[in-house]
Amino acid sequence: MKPDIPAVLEDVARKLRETILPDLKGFQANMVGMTAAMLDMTAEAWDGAADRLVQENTALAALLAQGSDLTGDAAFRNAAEEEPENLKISTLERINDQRRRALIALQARIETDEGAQALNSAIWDELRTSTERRRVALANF
Amino acid sequence: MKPISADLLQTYLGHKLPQWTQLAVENLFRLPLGASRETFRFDLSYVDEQGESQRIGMILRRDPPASNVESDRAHEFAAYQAIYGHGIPVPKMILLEPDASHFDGAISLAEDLRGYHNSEYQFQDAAWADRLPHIARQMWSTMGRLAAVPVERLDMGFTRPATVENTAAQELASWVDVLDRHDVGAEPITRAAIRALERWQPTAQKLAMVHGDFRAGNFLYDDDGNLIAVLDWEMAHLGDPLEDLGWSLARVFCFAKDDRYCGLATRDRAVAIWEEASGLTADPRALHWWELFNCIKGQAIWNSCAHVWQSGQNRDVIQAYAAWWLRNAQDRAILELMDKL
Repeated sequence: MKPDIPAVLEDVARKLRETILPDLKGFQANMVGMTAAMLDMTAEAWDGAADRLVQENTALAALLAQGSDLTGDAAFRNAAEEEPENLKISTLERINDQRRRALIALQARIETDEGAQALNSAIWDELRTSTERRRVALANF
Repeated sequence: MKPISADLLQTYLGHKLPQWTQLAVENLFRLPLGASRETFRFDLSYVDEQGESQRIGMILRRDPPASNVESDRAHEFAAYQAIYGHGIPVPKMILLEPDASHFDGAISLAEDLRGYHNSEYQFQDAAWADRLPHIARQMWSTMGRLAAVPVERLDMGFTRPATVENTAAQELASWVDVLDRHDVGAEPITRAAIRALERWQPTAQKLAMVHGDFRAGNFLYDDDGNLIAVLDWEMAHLGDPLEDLGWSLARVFCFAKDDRYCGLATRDRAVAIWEEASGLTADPRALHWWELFNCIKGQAIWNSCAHVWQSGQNRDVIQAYAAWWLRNAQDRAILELMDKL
């Protein structure tokens, strides 16, 4: 779409803040302010959303495969078997959620096992990296 | 939901308060306060039993059909009444209407303390910088004094029982249940934190009335930075006073985006003020547990925001906004507390 979606969203957000918001007060002002902030968050996430999810899903599949090798439980590898039939965000998010749920089960199983600490560290590394990938510029932390 | 109009409110109050005549509701206005309840301000004029004309400011709070916080008017009303007159400044409660049929939701009415501020963002204005140390002392010393109130003197019948031994486990189980029932996607960081919290829980030094949401933005203050009243008691309960301290030390409430908690003071300063006012000790291991616990509570609330929006139960913009704004920041806070960041 042209003009570029992030640029349009940021510009609409700025116009809401600068031309509409000053004329409002109370609940209405708060609602428009939040709407402008959500347009900024959408603009920030838009361009990289598919790339982020593909990176995450690839990393999760690798961890789950390691988990299967370590535990001898094929369920972890199987949870990452489905390949996306397209690159729609909704498809990638569905697969991401499946794999993150499997990762929860895997980490719960191995985290207190002395012999699995390398994998546990790798899981934490990916969780830290995914949190940085999802970071919202407007957030307080 | 049915819009709350001046006519509707005036008719209702006329039936509810027959001792007052010539009732008039004016300047009804929705305030931008919080995600969990609708809050309105209005003026009520009337002629009292002595024939004197009166005019008072009122606050009306209404329960929505679904909210990010599972509380209700009766709970918050009783919490305010329990603490009123015990040294913690709060507005006076006036009326509770638990019957949802009148306004499409239960309502409560309280006195409106006007002419004060409650914005957590105002603290970041340069004009307020010199008052921040005073506001920090006001906030955490009030929280400390709340911790010191002998809970056996309060009517805590509105909340579930607790003991010093079980309050931590009980609160954790309760918020994990909220998270489970408002699942909007896998939360591996939050689940890892829950497992860590389940391995050990602190025993409380004492039981206290816990506010449940004591932070910048939930108290009124005057132009000099004096705390006038503590608001938003809908999550109040019996518990470990360290729970409130931990909530106020949440990274997601670092509104200045630096190491000043609530945008007001460093962690060490906040804890020192609280210890001095409460007469209690903030044991580092116990406080760390409550800080991590509060991340679970926060994540349960932000997930509930997303859930009630996604399921169509509550389409207020703030429900979607809070979920977008806070879920990942809450994960970062967990990583920091678990030394994984």
